[in-house]
Order: sequence, then structure tokens, then C-alpha cells
Amino acid sequence: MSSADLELCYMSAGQVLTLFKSKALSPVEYLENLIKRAEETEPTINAFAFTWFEEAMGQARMAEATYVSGNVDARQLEGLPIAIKDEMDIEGQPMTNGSLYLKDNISTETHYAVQRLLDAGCIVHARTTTPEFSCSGTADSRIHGTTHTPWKHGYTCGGSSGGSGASLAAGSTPLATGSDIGGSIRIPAACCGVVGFKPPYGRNPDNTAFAFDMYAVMGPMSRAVGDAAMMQNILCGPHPLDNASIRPKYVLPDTYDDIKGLKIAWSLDLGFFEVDEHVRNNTLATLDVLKDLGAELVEVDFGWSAEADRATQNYLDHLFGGYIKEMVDTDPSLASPWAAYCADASGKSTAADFYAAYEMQQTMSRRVGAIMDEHYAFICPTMTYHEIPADQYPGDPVVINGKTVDPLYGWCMCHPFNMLGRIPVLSVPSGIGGNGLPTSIQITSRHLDDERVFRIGTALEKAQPWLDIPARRPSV
Amino acid sequence: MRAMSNPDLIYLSAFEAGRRFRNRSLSPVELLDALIDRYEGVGDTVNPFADRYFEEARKRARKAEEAFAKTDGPPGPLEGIPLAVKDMSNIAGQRTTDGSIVYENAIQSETDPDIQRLIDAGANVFARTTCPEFGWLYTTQSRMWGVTHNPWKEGVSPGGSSGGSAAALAAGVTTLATGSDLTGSIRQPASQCGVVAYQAPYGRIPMVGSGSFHDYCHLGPMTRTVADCALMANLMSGFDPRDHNSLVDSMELPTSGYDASGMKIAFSMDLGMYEVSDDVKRETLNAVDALISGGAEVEEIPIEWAEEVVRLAHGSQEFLFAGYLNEIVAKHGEIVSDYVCELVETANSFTADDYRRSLSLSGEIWRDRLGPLFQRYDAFITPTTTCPDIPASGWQKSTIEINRKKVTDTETSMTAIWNMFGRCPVIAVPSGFADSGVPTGIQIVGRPYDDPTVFHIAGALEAHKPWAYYQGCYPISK
Repeated sequence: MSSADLELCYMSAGQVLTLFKSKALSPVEYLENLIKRAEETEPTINAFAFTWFEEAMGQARMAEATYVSGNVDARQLEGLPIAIKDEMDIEGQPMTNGSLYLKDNISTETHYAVQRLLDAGCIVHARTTTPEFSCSGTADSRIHGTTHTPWKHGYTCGGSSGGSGASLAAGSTPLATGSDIGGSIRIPAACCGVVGFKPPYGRNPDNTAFAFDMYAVMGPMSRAVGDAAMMQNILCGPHPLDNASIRPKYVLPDTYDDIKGLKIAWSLDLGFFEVDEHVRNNTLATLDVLKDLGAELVEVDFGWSAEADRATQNYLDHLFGGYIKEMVDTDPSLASPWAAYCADASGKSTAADFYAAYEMQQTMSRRVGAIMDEHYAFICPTMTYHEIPADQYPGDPVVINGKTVDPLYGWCMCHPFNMLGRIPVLSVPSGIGGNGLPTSIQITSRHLDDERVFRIGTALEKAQPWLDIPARRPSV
Repeated sequence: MRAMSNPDLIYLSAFEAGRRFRNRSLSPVELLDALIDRYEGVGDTVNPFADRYFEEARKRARKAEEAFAKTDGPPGPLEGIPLAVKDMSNIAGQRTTDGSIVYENAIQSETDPDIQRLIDAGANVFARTTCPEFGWLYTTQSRMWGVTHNPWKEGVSPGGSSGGSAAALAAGVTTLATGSDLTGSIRQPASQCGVVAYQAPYGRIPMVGSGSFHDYCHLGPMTRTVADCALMANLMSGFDPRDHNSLVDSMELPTSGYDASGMKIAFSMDLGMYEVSDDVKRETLNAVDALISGGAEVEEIPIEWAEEVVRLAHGSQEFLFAGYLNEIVAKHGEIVSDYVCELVETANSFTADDYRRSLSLSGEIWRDRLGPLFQRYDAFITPTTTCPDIPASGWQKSTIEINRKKVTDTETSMTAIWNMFGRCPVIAVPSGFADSGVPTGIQIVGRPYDDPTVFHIAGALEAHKPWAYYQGCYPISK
């Protein structure tokens, strides 16, 4: 692929749309480029579960005609390709959720938020890989195989929205969707060095059985902060068929002020995580960048403990694991190792565990609420350690700084913000570690104040850009 | 029991009392004294109050009186208005017993945000209202506070768990009251006592206690008029950084100009599963007729899917509650009420898988049934209870006969389904009286986060079919 064509693959969605509108770029030409890039990178990374290149080309030609005809009918995202996680329904398409149990499943309806993307003119050219039932921090399943981070073969792209993260970093899609019940948007964003936004629970409507689970959300993944905001504004808003979707619609602004004078709280480890040197160094360097931009940085202690962490895990193990167990019990021979692991962890919770989880949420939120009220935002790493094998096996120990941690939860600092599900979290790159793997930070704010995290993300992206030049991109 | 000396005062609405405070035709001291006087007369029979703070309240009333006498600066919107707070809400320096001897010394260190806002608006908390132990029953009786009776008929339940609040409003011993609701505890007592109560969408009224992450759990106003209810809800609502689930956007409810004309309302008498007594049916249909007179279009619709929903709505709460109560019963089995031990036994039969099923079922039912219903209708109406003749000393295993069928008192409250769909606003208003002379009521349910619509419908009903208190119809008047 020529360097000019590759530049096109890494262009932001916002820029691509501007070029579409000015007729300097045709949706057909752009999609051809992405397909070429996918053909080049897929054998190595395996980000796509299904591709719909021919159908997508047909739609791109229609979009081209719309733009050529003078653009009056062009919708906001007319002709823009998007990769949708193989966990969200699109009527008439397969949706396996990474599982052999669902290998013949064809969706009979479209996910409410995905429908909004389609209505805005998006073209679905691919569906992205996810681990079985989207239950692990990697993207490795018997149905889709192993997905790798484009940064280093053999290491994980993160999960569960792993194919989404990997395709964005590889330049084979400008936008992708993710869903997050314990970190599944932010983990792959961190492992692939891209942007992921976990909106507060209730922002984006959901058609699944998880609509009433306050840990579970869907959200945008992109390379540019502005693209995530643009996409979020389309996904967001009340839906008549989701009782929990918040009314009125929340709209993120198009532009943001600088961050001079803002008081930003931070913690390296939330009080109980093991953080490796690459993550530590890049997080501290990124905090320095924010300081140079005029922010006031304040180290804080949430006063959380491993006990709080355990309460989250009990809740997830049970509610999420119980759903998986129901499937696995029908024929255990079909299960991927992580699905079997999660099924096994479920069903052990008692009423007292559930009650304790609700109590713990309340206790944790009181402390965080007070800190967030005094600070504009709070920053911590997304992951504590990135050297997780792409085909990580549940039985293999994960050792950080010489300490063995939980193989599922011990290396991601994401799930506490599912427990406190109304907090908006933007995961953005913080640099490349000495090990050649990207690192990331989570920018969070007080609950339901989404604008704040985008303001800081926008300022950081400008001061410390990522994926903008070949030297800051993975070489697949 | 003394005859009621001044019904015009003790049944005044907060709006009217405030108006008269401002034009100085009534003083906050006079109003409070009239209520205390009424309490002295009927308190022993009805038993609506837990702890009382009459002397402190009199001092505050005198200050309010002074505030109205001064010309500098307008007093707060509830300045000098007597308020009775349920004994499950917290006020710094006062004890909250949750109706249990276990907590008889539980002096609180902070005030709940909703109560603080009412106090900041000038409300005068002069008493706490009774509830069953840990707020569990649809009746109001406990070892801690004894049995609370329905002012309309001794021996009949005022409802529960906010039974003291509802009874206090109906008996004319308070102007305003508060309640809390997990499976109907605001709305069912309102129906039993013929008063108004509002369950706001989850997150609208902030909560800092352990219920704040629990979307079945609501705090809300209880009043005698729709306008008072809106006035209180407006004050109690709004963002609080201490409550992780409190909504940022505020919602101003109308306190006048209620109009239901042109609204499309769906109606079900029994959700396809409840046994409803003939007199409740009659009064519900009368209320429907009144709404039609008010210009609304009301259509009866068949419901065929509610049985599992209702079972899991109750069961899931028992399951969570058991998580809490198991520990309490293990430690304090000797001093808790008998029904608490019984409840723990029943609740422990509900499994964590049932709990998970309750979450996924709510998603499915909204997507497939209720969501589409609310796309066609502005609101949905059902009776609040199926039969109000519940014994005051009853509990979850008491049986009641309706249409010659035996049901439990839990099966008379049609409320829990709207806790499962807790983002829907629900207002409970009186519909009339059962043959026994006990009030009946309906619930008006709106679309998620669409609060004003249900107030318009409730206000229209109040205008076209005024309930007690307006009509000179008071309990214990002889």
C-alpha cells in the first residue's frame, strides 16, 4: 500500500467526511482503500469476524451518487464505513457473540444505537471479533480464532471489543462500536492505542437482556477524540423501548476550551492494583503534559480496597457469568476456555453477596462523589500491565512486579467504573511502553458530566498526539 | 376521642396555608397548634407518629411567624409548613429506627438530601411517622411502634410501609409527609388512606443511603392535593453529587393548570392476573369516566404477561432484602417482629438465578410489551390496590377474601411492577370509597422520565372527581 493510501486509512472520520462533502474524496475510493488495508492486515491481526465488502461497496456507490448529486440528501455520516462488534444485532446479519453456541444465529432486529448509526448513513463493512460471550479481557475464541494487537504479534488486542480496537489501530476502519460491562471498550482501546468511550449507564439505548444491568453499556471507539464525540452524539438519547435510557438526550459540544487552571485528581493504582513500569512511566509523563497545559494535578486516595474490587467481581461473576452458564450447560464441549471459566465462577453468589455489592457501590460512590465534586476530573491508568498473550489461558498466572494477580481482573483498572456505572470514562493513549506496546489512561469525571472527559481528552490529543504520523503507528 | 374542632385548618393544603401565612390571616403557630391538638384527640386511636418533636417545632413555628411578620425578604416556599417524616429517612441528631427495636438508639449524623431540601425551604418537621419493621409490610405494625390504623376505619390497615405518613395526612394531623417505596410503600398507603403520593423516576430525587444503587427504591412526597405533591416533588428533586445515580437535568412539575384533554390513556383493571373486588372496580371505572369527562381518551387493554413479572418483582426484592436481614435475624432474632423471621425464611428460597432472571425479564418485557404500549399511550392506569379491607395487624401471610377467593395481602397491592420499571413516574391518587368506607385509589403511570403528564392527569381527575377533604368529608369527624 502506498504511503498516501495509508495516510487515508489513518485519517480521522471527521476529516474523511469533510473530504466526502467537498467531493475531494469519494466514499467508493475510500472504502476500496480500507478493504485493501484489511486484506493486508487481517492475516496478521484477525480483527474481523465477518466482512460485507461487496454489499458495502454497493452502498458506497450510492453514497457517492448522493454527494455527486449536490449533497442535499447527505446524512451526517453518509458513506462512512463502520465496523460493528459481533455482539450487537443487525437485522439479517449473523451475530455469534464469539460463540459456537450462536454460530447459526441470524439477528431478527437491530440494536437500537446501531440503528442510529445506520440511519446517519454509516456503512457496515465488517463485524469485529469478540471472545465468547464477550466475557474476557482478550479476543480469542473457538469460532473466530485469536486476534492480536497490531503493535506486536502474539500480544492481545484486549477484550472484549478486541476486533474493534485492532481494526482501528490497523487502519481498516475509521469507527467501531464496543460494549463494556467490566472494561470491554477500554481494555482493547488501551491494548491497541486508540480511543474508547464508556458512556454513563443510561446514555445509549440497548436492546439486549442487559438493558437493566447498570454495569453494561455500549459506546464509540475511534482513533480521534473528536470522532468518538461525534459518534457518541449519534448513539445517545432516550429510546422508547429501553426503559433505562435517560431523557433528555445529552449532547457533547463540538469544541472545547483549554484546560488551564483545571484541578485534576489522579491515582496510579486506585490504592490496590499492581502497576508495571511502562504504565507507570507513561502515566506520569502524561500527567506532566497536562500540567504543562496549565492543569493543577492532585494525587488522591479513593480509599478503595481489594474488598471493594471483590464486590464488583462477585456481582459480575454472578450476573454475567450466570448468563454464560445457561449457554455452556447446554453442551459444555462447545465452550471456549474463558466461557467455561466464567460459567464455573458463576452461581456461587449468595443474597448477602448481592446486598454487599450494592452497599459497597454506595460506600465507594460517596467517597468518589466527594472527590469528584472538588476536582474537574480524575485520571488513572486503563490497564496496569500490557504483556498479556493474545491467546491467554485462564489457568496461566499473570505476574506483575513479581506478584501473581487475578487472571481476569488483576491487570485492568476498568471494572470499578462499571460498578460506578454513571461515571463517564474516556480511555486515550498515554504513549508507547519500552516493550513496544501502547499504554493508556482513563479520564473520568463526576457522574453524568461527559463533557469534562472530552475536554481533557481533546487537550491531551493536541499536546501529545497518537497515530498521527507513521512513527506513531504500528507496523503490521 | 375528641370531636374535630377546626377541620378548615387541619386539612388545609400547603399551598393554601402558605397563601394565608403570607397574607397573615393565619400564623404557622396556629396551624401547628391545631394539628397537635388534633393529634392529642386521635393519636391514640390511629397511632400515625413515631417520635414527636412538638416543642422544638413550636419554637420554629414562632420563628416562621416572625419571618412572615417582617417585610425584609420572602420566606422559603414551605416556611412554617408542618411536615411529618417517615421513620426510615435520616435527620441529623434524630434517631431513625426503621420501625425496629434493633435501631432504637440509632441517632443519625446526617440528614437525607430530600429532607434537607424541604427543611431548607422552611418545612417544620414536627413528627416522624410509623412504618413496619425495616419497611417490609403492606401494613404498619411493629414491636417498636405497635399497630397503626386507617383513620377511615379502625382495624383496617393504613397500608405500608409509609402507613404512618398516609394515616397522618388522612387524619389531619399533618399538612405534608414523606414516604419511601420499594414495592409500593408510598402508593399503597396513599390508596388505603385516600391521599396523594408520587414515585418519581429513579434518580430524580437523590438518595444517599444504601438504596441509592437500587433502581426499585424511591423516596417521595405524600400529600392531600396534587398541587402540594408537585410542590414537594419540585423541592425534593435535583442533582446531588453524593448520589451516584441522581439525574443532572431537573424537571419542573406544574402546580396548576392541569389538563388531560386529548391525552391517550391505556387502562387495565387487573393486569390480567389480580383478583379485584367489585367496589374497587366500580370506583376505578368512575375515575376513568371522570378522566373521559376531562377530555382524555381512555382505552381498556388486555395484559397477558404480568404474572412472572410481578412474581419476580416481589421475589427479587425479598432476595436482596434477605441478604441484609439474615445477618440481623442471626444477631437480633429475639427482638425483631415475628414477620421478619418469617420473611427471611421465604426469601431464602429465591435464588441468585431468579434474581438474574428478574433483570433480564425486565429488559424483555419493556422491549416487547410496555415500551410499545407507551409508544401508543401517554399514560397507563390501574387500580393501586385490589381491595382495601386489609386487617391493620396483618402481615405478608395474612389472607383476605376477594370475590370468594383467598389471597394474601401482598396480592392486593398492584404496585411492585412499577418498581421494576422504576424510570416511569407514578402518581397514586384516590378513586373513591369501598363499601366498607375505606378509600380506594388508582395509579397513573407515565413514560420514563416524563413526569408532567401524570400530574396533568392526576390534576384533571382531582378537578372532575374531587376526593375527600375538599368535600368536607373527613375521617373521625364524629
